[in-house]
Formats: sequence, structure tokens, C-alpha cells
Amino acid sequence: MFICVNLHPIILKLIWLKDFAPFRIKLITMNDEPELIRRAQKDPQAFGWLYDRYVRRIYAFVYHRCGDGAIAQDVTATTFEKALQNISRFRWQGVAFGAWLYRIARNELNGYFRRERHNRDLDWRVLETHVAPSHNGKHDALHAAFGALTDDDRELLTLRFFEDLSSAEVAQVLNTSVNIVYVRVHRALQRLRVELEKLETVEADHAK
Amino acid sequence: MPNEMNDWGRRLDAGETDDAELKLAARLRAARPPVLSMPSATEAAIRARVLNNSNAHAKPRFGFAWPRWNLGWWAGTALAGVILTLFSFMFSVLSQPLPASGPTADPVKTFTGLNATPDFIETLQANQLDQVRIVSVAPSGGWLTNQLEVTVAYTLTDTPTATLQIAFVNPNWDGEFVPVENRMPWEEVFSTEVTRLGDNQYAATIIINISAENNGAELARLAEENQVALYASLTAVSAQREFSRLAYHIARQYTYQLPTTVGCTTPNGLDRAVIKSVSVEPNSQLPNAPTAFEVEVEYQLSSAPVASLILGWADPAWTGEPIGANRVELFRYVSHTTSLVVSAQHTTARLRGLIFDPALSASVARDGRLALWVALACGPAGAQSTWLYSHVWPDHTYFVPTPNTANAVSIASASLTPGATLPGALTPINVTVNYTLTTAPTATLQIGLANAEWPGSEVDARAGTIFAVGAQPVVVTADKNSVTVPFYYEPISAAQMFSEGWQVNLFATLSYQTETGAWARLAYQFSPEFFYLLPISQ
Repeated sequence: MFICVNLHPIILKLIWLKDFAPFRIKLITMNDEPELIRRAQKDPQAFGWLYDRYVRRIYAFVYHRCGDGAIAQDVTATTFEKALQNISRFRWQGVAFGAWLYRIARNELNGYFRRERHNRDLDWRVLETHVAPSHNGKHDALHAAFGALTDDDRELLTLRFFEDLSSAEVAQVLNTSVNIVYVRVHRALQRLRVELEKLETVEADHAK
Repeated sequence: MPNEMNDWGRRLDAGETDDAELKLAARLRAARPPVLSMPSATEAAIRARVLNNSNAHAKPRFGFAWPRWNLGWWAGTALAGVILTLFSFMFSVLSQPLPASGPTADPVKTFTGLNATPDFIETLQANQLDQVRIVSVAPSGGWLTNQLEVTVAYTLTDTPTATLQIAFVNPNWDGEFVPVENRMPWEEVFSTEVTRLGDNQYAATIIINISAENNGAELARLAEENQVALYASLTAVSAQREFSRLAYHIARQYTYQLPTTVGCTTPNGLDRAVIKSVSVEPNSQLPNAPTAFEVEVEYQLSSAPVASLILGWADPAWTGEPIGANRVELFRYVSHTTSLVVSAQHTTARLRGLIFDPALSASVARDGRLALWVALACGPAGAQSTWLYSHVWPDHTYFVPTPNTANAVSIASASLTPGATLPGALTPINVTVNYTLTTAPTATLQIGLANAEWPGSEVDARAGTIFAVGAQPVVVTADKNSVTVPFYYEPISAAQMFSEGWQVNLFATLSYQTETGAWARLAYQFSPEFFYLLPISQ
């Protein structure tokens, strides 16, 4: 007898087969990421659940960095291929599996731009398409201020606030410590605030 | 200050808004839109690609589809060892300590204490003034040959001595180390030389010999589109053996194509390889201890610019053909191969790593003799390689020392009556195996069911309808001669391996893992007496 909740059909089948001999009740929820990683490490078919959970987020992240659907598709597929190939090496450390995927995607994208000799600055269309429309112009100023930041700052703030990763997850993606993430986020926000104040001053002058 | 920042970070994580930056963070969060919708066609394309990849993983590349009884790792390791021994050296090159010629200014002493990627501990912050740069390499690109001469310039400021590491890396690697447990293959470095730098030096020239120890499979693993770049780093080592990287340089202008990628056209029949000399007299008895031999080969390479020259010990009765049609022949007739990447620009090669191990040669020395086998192959390592030439040289035949008693294994009894139809449910079968182990203190015993075409060695399942399901391997010791092994026959796995109504037989193999990780079969029995029939569904 098995009870599976929110489970990918492939995993459902897998659990049935794997746990065939000793009958047991197995309850799997969305929060069982370590368990699902463990299963995926033993059987690639179980990777499906992790794929379903993260594919849209990774695609969006890549797309907003490159602004090209074809590249985003290729990089996203490569990201999951590499994750699948290397999932046996993954060790759960209390940080979501997604952080690892973001790191792979980031490396892939950086590699892609190096390979393709993309000399153009990364578009970082994050706010172009990311910031929700507003009627009071505040987001437009935020958009413009965000665009004045460096690539590193934009990447950091995107991961932390738009991709909604925790500080620990951002640290995992950027391969640094949580404390350094705090410092870098603080400094990036300071710079964003300065840029924003400049723009708001200009807007206020125009309004006069 | 650090404590203040930690406190601020915790407030950030808690979503507080009691200072200007935290308020701005909240604004950014509020500006976050829903996740971009992904076109369904895009999702389908990504899913199909990953699914194909998943299927490739579900069916292990090197066949031998063991069932789920925790056998995958063993079979994988065994296969990897055998396959590597036979094929992986499409790239690997024998170490040839040629005299260091050319510019060797500032000769430096090398040491071998560090030959793996250290897990860097960032306790020491790198001084921005410390620098290292690869300034020249000869040859400066193209196919990776067996020797490179690398000159680096460096600056050390606060640290009087440091370690210079030259390595191969993925050209796209950003140079950042990640925790070793989550490190991806392309985030690793393949270390070739580590050199202690003395005081008052500003440049060093290192000769890199890419030897057989520098496994080509490792390089292929970290390569990007079969290319690797050169990497140099300066590392300080504290008294506590903590490593701190002071500076590094990835010289992407010096990228090398791995020879494993050489494209092969159809062999034109003009490729040849002739053994010119061997460091042991023909028709003599081979030594009674593992020994490495040196072999000089004259070759003609016409079908490809680069190829692997492969040498091995073979059954003298084997002609060397056919290889391409059925790769199983290789496993049956050849052991202990070694290889060297050779170029069409040259005609002679010297291989120094052909090892003879008396404990492991019995499987191919069927009449107590071994002959030298030489082959030329190109293309990617493994099943896709193209054989350009293969020949066994009977005039280079040697006698194998005979152990007092040979290794042997035989199935004595099984709890399932021979000739029975295999059950449709999970069934434990206890198999008692008698064995004699004389050439090693311990060995790994594997039993299982196989069809008659299975030759008893780890083979590529794609080579034909050769299937086996096995039990958990067990370690046996030389001081005993019998063991009973439980084999859990599982019909679902068997149905994946075998067709309905097939006859399958019990087999037992006694294997030994060498220091190199390769597996060699000591003894094997495919028992005609213990046979069973697969059920036919109604």
C-alpha cells in the first residue's frame, strides 16, 4: 500500500518497484527534496520531479540574462543534463537543490558567452521584463537605477530578490559564504539607493 | 563590523524594513513579477533533451544491465576498469622522460606531494600583488602531444615561497573553486606538475610529460568540446597544511584538442604497425612477478592525423581479427594493454608501460603462452573508436610461468533444481560455489544468471544479445575453498534482460582488482549443469 502526494508519475512507479518486497506505507511530500535527490541519485528516472520543480525558474533566470529564447532553451537543457549527469556528486547540505542548478546555469551561461565571444554587455533585462508595471513611475525609476549597477550587483540582487533565493542559497550559487553575501547585498543596495536618489532628484527637478 | 553585518543580514532574511537598505530590499521584492512563462514548445524541447539524456543514463553505457540489487556500482567499476584498460588510453600516453631540452632557465625542483586539486581553505586572503601568468607554451596549441614546455612569469610579494601548479582545465571554468563535495567535473583541474618556487625567482619553465598516469579519461571528463586549456596557480601552504591560492591564470589562448576527438574516415588499409624490439627475448619465459616491458614499434599512420597505438598481451592463436565486428573478442583474447598517442608525422614510437602480471594473465594465455598484439585506433575512446589496424605477432611469443595450482571456480549446488522454470516472484536462490584461489589473498566472487552467449566478462551489451543478471558480489579469501552466496532472483529485472523461454545458466566469476583499479578475471565457470528456463507468458 502506498500513499504518494504530489508525486511525479515516474516516481510513483519507481517507488512501487523499489519497495516491492517489504510492504510499507510511504508518504512523500513536496518538502522531501533530500529524499528525492537521493532517489534521483540512484535512478535517473526519479530526476523528473526535480526537473518539474525547477525548469521554469531556471529558464526564466537564463532568459532574463541573455534575452534570447533559443539560447535560454539550450542553456536550460544543458543545465539539467549536467545536473542529471552529476547528481551522484551532489551532497545535501541543507540548501535547496535549486541553488546548485542556478550555479550550473550561471556557469553554463558564462561559458556560452565566452564561447560565442559575445562582446555585448549582458542585457540584464531583468527589470525590463521583471519589474511589475506600475502607474506611479516608481518602478521605472527603480528599473533605471538597477540598470546603472554593475553586472555583479545586478546578478546578486536578481538572485536574492527576483529569483527569491535565500542568502544561503545565493552563497551556494556564487560559491561564497553567507556573511559575504550579506556584505555584498548591503553594498549593492547602498549603490542602488544612491542611483535611485539621483534619479528621483532629477525627476523632482523636472516636476518643478 | 562583521557582527553588525551578520545582524543586518538576519534582519534582511527576516524581511524587516527598519533601515534604508532594508526598505529598498522590500521594494525590490515587491517589484518581483511572476516567473516568466515558458512557451510550451520550449518546455517540450527541453524535456525531450533531458529525457533522452535520462534514458541514456537509465541504460548504462557499458551494458551489463545489472538488476537493482545494488550491483550497479560494482559492475560499473569493473567495467570502467576493463574498458579503461583497453580503450581509455585513446589519449593516454606513456611517460617518456625525454631529456629536458630547450629553454630551462631557472631550473626548479619538482615534487610530487600535490597531485590532486587541493581543497583550498580561504584563510589567507590573496595579495592582489601576487601574480602568475603563462607567457609561452611549446607547442602552443593544436593536438595535445605527450610533452609541453610551459614558461610562467610570477610575482610573489608577502610570501617567500610558494607552489606553482600547472594543470589542464576546462576552458570555460571561471577559476573559482567550490567545495569538493559539490565540485563539477569542469570545475576541477587536472594537475600535471607541481613545482616548489624558491626565493628571488620571477620565471620558471616547466616540462610537462603527459604520462599514462595522467589518465586521458580524466582529461576528457573536464574538457569542453574536447578542448582543455592550461592553468597555472601560485599556492602558499601554511604550517597547518592549509592551502591558499595566491594567484592563478587560465591561459585560454593555449587550448589543446584532445586526440580522442580526431575524426576518422574509413580506414584506407595503409595503416601498419610492426614491433621492432622488446625488452625481453622472444620465446623466453616471462618473469614470475609483475613487470613492465619496453617495446619499440615502427608504424605508418595514413587514415588519421593522430591515433592511439595500443599494445597488449594476446592469445597467440588469435589473429587479431575481427575487432570491429565483435568487441567481445578483445576481452576474450587480450589483456594488459597500454597505449600511446602517435602522430602521422612520425614513424616510430617507444612504449615503456606494457605490464605483464602473472597473476592475471591466465584468462588469455590458454596454452601457457602469450604473444604481443599491436593495434592502431582513432576517434573517441570506447565503443565508437575506429580500428585502423590490429595484428598479433606470433614471432613475439612468450611463455607464462605456471602457478603451482591455478585459480578455479565451480558451482557446486543451488537451492533451485536445475532445469526448472524460473518463478514469477522474487525468489532467493542459495548457490554454493567451490573455489581455489592461489594468486591473491582475496578476490571478488560474482554469481548470476546469463545466457549462453555471455562470455563471462564485462562487455558492452550493445555488442549483441548478451545478458546477465547477478547477485551482490562477495569477497572470498584464499584460506577457504567454498562459499554459499544468496542470489535474489527478481523476475522484473530478468524480464528486462532475457526473452521469454530463454535458457539461462548459472555462472561464477572470480575477479581481482589491480592497483590501477582495473578488474581482471582469475577464474570463470559458465555452468552447463545449472540451467533454468525463463517462463513464457500465457
